[in-house]
Amino acid sequence: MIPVMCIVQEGQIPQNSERDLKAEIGAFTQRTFSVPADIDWIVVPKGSGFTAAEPSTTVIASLHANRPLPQPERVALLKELGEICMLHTGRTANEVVTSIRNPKD
Amino acid sequence: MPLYMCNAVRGVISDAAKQKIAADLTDIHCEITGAPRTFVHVFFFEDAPHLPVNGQSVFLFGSIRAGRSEVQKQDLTNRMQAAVAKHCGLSLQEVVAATSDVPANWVMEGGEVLPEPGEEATWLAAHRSV
Repeated sequence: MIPVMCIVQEGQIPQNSERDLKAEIGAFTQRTFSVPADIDWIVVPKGSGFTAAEPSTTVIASLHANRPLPQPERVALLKELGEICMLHTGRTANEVVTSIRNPKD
Repeated sequence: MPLYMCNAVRGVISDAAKQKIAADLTDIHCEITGAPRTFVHVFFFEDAPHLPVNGQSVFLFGSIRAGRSEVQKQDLTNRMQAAVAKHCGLSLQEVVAATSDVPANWVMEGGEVLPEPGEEATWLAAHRSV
């Protein structure tokens, strides 16, 4: 499985959007890495998230690939993952951080 | 990026302290690294299983862009540890701070791969209007 960490701010995403986001991330890892996602869903409690020292609206999706990625492919996948997050959270590109890391040792 | 996640034993960090700590960590990170403030994320948790405190009161873990010197990283953790301890009324020994390097080109923010440390000006100019 692909370990995926999703961090959202409390109250930011309705339950149906959370469900859809998780499903689409799962489809993304299946399509890209041929395995399902193991999603660690982390909610930042209200009043506990800050970006630039101001209340945060940032959503973060970070995963470990299961194979080495050439940089052009990594960039394309980062963009795709970001678009999935924007679609289901309603956040702008400036509020979404995606990370695709090399396989864990 | 950077993403600082601060896990504490329940009740150790008040809401008022969170604001002050977030401001201090942002200032410290930007002062030491020259990174823009908009990059700095600070999230607080209580009794979070994914960030074990291992007997201390607070564990601060920062994922930062790779390329900082060991001196910078030591300065970051020392000053951030002190900031958390100060605002929580804790001894330094009760606060653990650590960082982990992440290559900038593994991360996308604002629809673009992050710049390497020191190359933020062009990246920021391109994102001013987003």
